[in-house]
Amino acid sequence: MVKNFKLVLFSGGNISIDYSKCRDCESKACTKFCQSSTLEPVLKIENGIPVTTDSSKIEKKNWCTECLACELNCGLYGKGAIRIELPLGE
Amino acid sequence: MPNLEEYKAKSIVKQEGLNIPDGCVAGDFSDINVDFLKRHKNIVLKSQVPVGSRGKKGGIVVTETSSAEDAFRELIGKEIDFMLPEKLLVEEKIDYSAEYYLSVYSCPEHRGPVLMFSSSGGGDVEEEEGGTVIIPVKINSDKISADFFKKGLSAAGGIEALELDALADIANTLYSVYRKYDCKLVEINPLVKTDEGFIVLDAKMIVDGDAFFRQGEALDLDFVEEIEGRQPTDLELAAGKIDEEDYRGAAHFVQLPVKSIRGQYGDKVKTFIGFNCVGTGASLTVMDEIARLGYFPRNFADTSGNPPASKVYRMTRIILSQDNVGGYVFATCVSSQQLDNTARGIIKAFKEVFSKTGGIPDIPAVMLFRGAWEEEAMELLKEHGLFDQPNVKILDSNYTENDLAGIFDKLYKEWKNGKKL
Amino acid sequence: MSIYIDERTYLLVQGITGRQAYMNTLYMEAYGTNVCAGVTPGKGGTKLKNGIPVFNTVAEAIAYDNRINTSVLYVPARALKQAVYEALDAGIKLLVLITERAPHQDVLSIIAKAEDVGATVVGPNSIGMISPGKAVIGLIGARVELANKVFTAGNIGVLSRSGGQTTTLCSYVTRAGYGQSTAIGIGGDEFVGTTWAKALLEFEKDPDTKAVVAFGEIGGIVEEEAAKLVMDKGFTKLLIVYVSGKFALDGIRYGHAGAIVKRGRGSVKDKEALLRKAGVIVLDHLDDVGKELGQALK
Repeated sequence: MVKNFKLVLFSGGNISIDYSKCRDCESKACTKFCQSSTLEPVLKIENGIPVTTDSSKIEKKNWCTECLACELNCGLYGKGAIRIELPLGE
Repeated sequence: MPNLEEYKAKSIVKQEGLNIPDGCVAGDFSDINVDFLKRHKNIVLKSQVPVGSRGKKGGIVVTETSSAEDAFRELIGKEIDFMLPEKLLVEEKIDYSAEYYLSVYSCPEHRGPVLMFSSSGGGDVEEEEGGTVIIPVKINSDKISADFFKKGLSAAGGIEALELDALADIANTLYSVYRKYDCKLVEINPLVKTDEGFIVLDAKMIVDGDAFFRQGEALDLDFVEEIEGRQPTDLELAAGKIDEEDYRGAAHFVQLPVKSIRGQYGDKVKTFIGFNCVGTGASLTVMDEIARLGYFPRNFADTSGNPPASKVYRMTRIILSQDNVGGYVFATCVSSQQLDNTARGIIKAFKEVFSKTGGIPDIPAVMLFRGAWEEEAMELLKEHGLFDQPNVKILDSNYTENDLAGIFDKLYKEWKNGKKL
Repeated sequence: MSIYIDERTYLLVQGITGRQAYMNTLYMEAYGTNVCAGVTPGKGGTKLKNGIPVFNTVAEAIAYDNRINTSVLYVPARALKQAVYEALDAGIKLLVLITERAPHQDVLSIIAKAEDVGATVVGPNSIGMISPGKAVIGLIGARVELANKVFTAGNIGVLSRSGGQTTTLCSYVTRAGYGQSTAIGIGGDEFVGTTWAKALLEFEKDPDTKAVVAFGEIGGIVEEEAAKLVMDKGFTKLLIVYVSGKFALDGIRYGHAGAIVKRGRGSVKDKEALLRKAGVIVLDHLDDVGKELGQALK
């Protein structure tokens, strides 16, 4: 089953991925520069779609370094499936 | 650096044992205790706005209690330096025979606290005036004795022996307040002499924002940037939230007053620019160079330390959402920041704000990336099509703050001429 | 020669197990600083990946390596005062405080105590300092490749209230063909342990320092004190200064806690006038520093 991905970010906001676009993506550029505050990156490709490398770390406060590389690379080389929302204020 | 309102500062010095007038704070006349009004024939209404020389600006009204209600309505609706009070301080009117000045503050010259006393309180007090004494205090002595202050105060001259004892006690209390509440300044002006002893007629406290972790709750304060004489803007409040929710790197943002800059520099102002730097020193240096050519920052912003890209993104969005912006400048010192992250933050913001052109701005923009990660930053800007486009110039560590200003000037003029065609 | 730090610096890192402190320790070691040990209360008895031992207290660290003569502190702001007191009580005479946003009364207490025991405190909110080719303390430079590019050994002393502009200024000095004896970021706060005047006295004594260049800012009295020192002949070598914030408005704090003009006090104009009166060379543009050095040292 295709399931949309959502990761809540430490600074407020979230990363969401529209998996329906990922199947036709050949670049998988979203994982190209992905980094976390630990040794493993946040995202890996499994069955053709990006998923988190370690679901136990999702709750860890600053696991994702919020480098924004996944969204920028997906926009440039992939299908524009990733959206990082970073609300201001509130 | 929060400035405590008068009523808060007074309630603290009262708690520590000094005398203040009988009174209360009220947002509406009906909040005032009826017994209080019965007790006093004459009362004083004081507007609680953080403005200097409040008395001269009509912020303090003495009235008979019988006509206090009208006076209250008028004062609470009165703007002082563009600020409306939320509350008034309502106090009994005190009759006194002399006014003194007393403060404890952190003194740059002595690099420690000093007590300042003047026998001519009430208005502005200058160090050099007669009757004024400055007493440096050694901060890590465990206890300061009233005798220590007595000796120092006697140098002011003309104070009776009995009075000197009382003043030394008050000085000692004030010093304890300074220490206990992490003050930069605690000031009583005036301290008045009455038949029943000394009374604090007005008090002021400036508390160290960096001591919030041990003071914030005790004093019931919010964190805002230090901006003298005005309330923070919506964008400043939004920028304040950036750091509140994320300790990685530091974001600092203040909007500069367009009107007073125009007033001060007149025709020299070509336009205002959205402005962000890495490092305060670099920001000030870049501002020196661009303002000299007529490009005045609309805001002051600094994203220093090692912030995540998301923090730089938020700051850039805030900067670009300002009104009256005719250009954009970003610059770093020769920096140890991971500028690849910084670049990603800026790229995302530009792609969203200037979405129709794939991120290429409709105003002239110059960015200077220097430091340990400058090459990575350059590569990213190239990759995402923001490198040396019309309206955009990207510079590396071969360039200086001064070079940046010249390049922005050229770009702005080209842009302006092109726009006119 | 250089001032404060050189190849005989033996360093303790307080708060070493924090991420920033650890990354920095790797950099300091890679540059050639003698890093002896670290302290983090509660983590004593462990070793870092690079083999540096961690102790619970400063005294234990010194018992392990009695060469320790300098400490750099990365501890959280709320723990700074106690950590500094501990180092001073253990007899360390040079402390570099990287910690930001420490309560200013704690800093005043630190300054007073350091004076009592005759110790030197640099910072807080300092980026650190470097004697090129000998030792680096703190974040200044960040990566060995960058450090080797912008810092070169030589005889120009560098002082700055801004951390970032310490490096920028050094890069301009290096580009003009001059090396540095020691470069110090004194810290951007209103109250710091080592003012320009204090450091200038050290540069005066250092036979290998021929001139000092300095980056100043609006607010405070660091520049004024330096001008006074020059007038009183306490510093007699060439001094070149840039004061930033020429268009700063009254009452607005520009980033650093100390960078604010208060009711007309601390403006660039006043600072420049006083420095010029003392015979100090005042730069109109920061990147003129190389040209001015070239003319003055001819």
